[in-house]
Amino acid sequence: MLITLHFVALMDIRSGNRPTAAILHCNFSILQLHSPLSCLTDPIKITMSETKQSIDLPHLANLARLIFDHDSSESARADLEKIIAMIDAMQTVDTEGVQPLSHPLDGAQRLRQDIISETEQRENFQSAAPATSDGYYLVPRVVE
Amino acid sequence: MPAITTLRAMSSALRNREISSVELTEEHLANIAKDETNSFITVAKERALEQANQAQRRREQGEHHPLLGVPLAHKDIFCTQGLATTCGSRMLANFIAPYDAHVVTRLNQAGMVTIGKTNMDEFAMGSSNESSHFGPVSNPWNTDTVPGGSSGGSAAAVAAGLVTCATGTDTGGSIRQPAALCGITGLKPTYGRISRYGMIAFASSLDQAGTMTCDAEDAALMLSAMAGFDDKDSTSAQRQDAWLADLAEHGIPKLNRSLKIGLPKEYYADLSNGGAIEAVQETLAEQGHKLVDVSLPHTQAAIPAYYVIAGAEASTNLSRYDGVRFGHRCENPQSLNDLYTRSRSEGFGDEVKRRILTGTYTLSVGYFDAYYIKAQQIRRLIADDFSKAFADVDVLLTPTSPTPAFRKGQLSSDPIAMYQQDLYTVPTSLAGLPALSMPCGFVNGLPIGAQLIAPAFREDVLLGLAAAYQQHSDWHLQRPNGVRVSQEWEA
Repeated sequence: MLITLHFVALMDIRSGNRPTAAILHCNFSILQLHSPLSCLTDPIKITMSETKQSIDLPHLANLARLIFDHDSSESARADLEKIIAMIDAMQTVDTEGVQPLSHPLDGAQRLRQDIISETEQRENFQSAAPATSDGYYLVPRVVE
Repeated sequence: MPAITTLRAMSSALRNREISSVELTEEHLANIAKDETNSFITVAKERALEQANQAQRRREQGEHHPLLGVPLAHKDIFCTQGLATTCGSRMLANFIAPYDAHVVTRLNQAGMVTIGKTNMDEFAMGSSNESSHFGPVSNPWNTDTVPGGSSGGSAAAVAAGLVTCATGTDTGGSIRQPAALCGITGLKPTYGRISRYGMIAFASSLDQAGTMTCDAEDAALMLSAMAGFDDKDSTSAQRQDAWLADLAEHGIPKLNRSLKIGLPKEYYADLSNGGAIEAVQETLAEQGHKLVDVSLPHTQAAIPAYYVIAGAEASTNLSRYDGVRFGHRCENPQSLNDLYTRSRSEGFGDEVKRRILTGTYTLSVGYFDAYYIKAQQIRRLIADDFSKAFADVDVLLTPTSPTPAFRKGQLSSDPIAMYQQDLYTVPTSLAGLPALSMPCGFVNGLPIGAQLIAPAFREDVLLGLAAAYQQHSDWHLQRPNGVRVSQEWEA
């Protein structure tokens, strides 16, 4: 049994509205309407259609400080579209009122005393640097 | 090929002066020189011999820690001071770590000999070891197949008998899946059990160091030295588990009771080769344990949630590679931005770039709630599924991976199919729970594994049950080409 997912209202996310399950529609001919969770809990395969959205790869690549030439850019975009279609299956899970879990054991961040515990190791650490001078890291000229 | 033994057999041979640490280390180095699996990125010959000499002196002075003088391999994700630490990437191909990971320090203190650093998927991102900058690793059971990943070099090295034990790391299954595919025992402890300090970060809320050994008793020995609170890791757990303190001296505590073992139905739905895991169930039932069906209803949501969380954390963690302070730097950068983009684009491989882009996408303005927060909510639902199950059962039994080892190149062009390899291992990672994979049979001549999952910090249950199973089975003693692991030292 296949469930087809379609993007219909991506602009909702882009415009900053709180995204809801409405951004995705299951093909309900094979699903019970009242149970979006069944998409993920029934022993059925979730198979995504190709996403209808277009990914702004140059923008994402720029944010990630990566560059792609023409050929690798096409395959990166195709792979990313498949991955996003796969992760979009999450949207069918009802998470209304569920607290996000950021630490696997729900632990609180332990704080240390604000005392100096590290010794100066500039030379040791800079031994791994590609270019240094007088204890500084070298980068291309920023200010002319 | 000389006889392959357990870590314990090697340890008792050292204690009984049947062999010296230096001789043992030389033997290891000679075997690794003939390795055809590409399990190692770096072989640390001089360092290993020096450590072996030190271990020998410590023995002569009356020390007798069971790990003293035993050679091991570290996954190349652990920083080793003065030794190349590449993380399987061109980005770090020239990186000599300026300090030791906490795990490395602990095992050095126990007197173990670092024989080398093992191959791995680049930045631990992969399930086949094919994303390594240093070439794929071959599964010793069939060199046309993959060893699994990302700790594939460690798994293959143990399976091939090049070492008796190796370290690994597991973010979404990177210890358990290669252990299953190579026919060895892999333990991913509870998140926080072992310090992440000096372990190159992939997804910090999931990354956990663990052990790759022949059997559960050997895993326990390794765990006893690796586990413990570390002030330098802000998520390190402060625990006082008496059984853990006793492991090195007394071994795994005996179970001495009947366990209630849950079989999550979602993990058995798609299983095409269920015979071996059913045989495990029978063996455990014969040992007096009670098997019951349970349900973990959000299991299928784990893969998408995992790839959102791991991608987001990876894109953040890997922003540190900028060509300035360490790692690969492009030639003749024209500007700061040119330095960043070209260094990163040259230094990272395709899979790493895919994960970074995925994380950049899900964290970008307007998408954060729909993806990252949603994934964290699912993470809680998955953790709650486990909590509910553990209200009724002591431990869960599942297959480790959907298939035995697949052929090289079979999945490498299809990232989504590759990600499905993690189906049975990812939920445990999201919940931070301890899990162990143990050999349980063969499909078409290739080993497969059974996974045990326990509540947080109950590795004693995992180890106890696995050790009891391994007393009544010999899958873990079988090695390629009809070789058997010896539990006694044979001179």
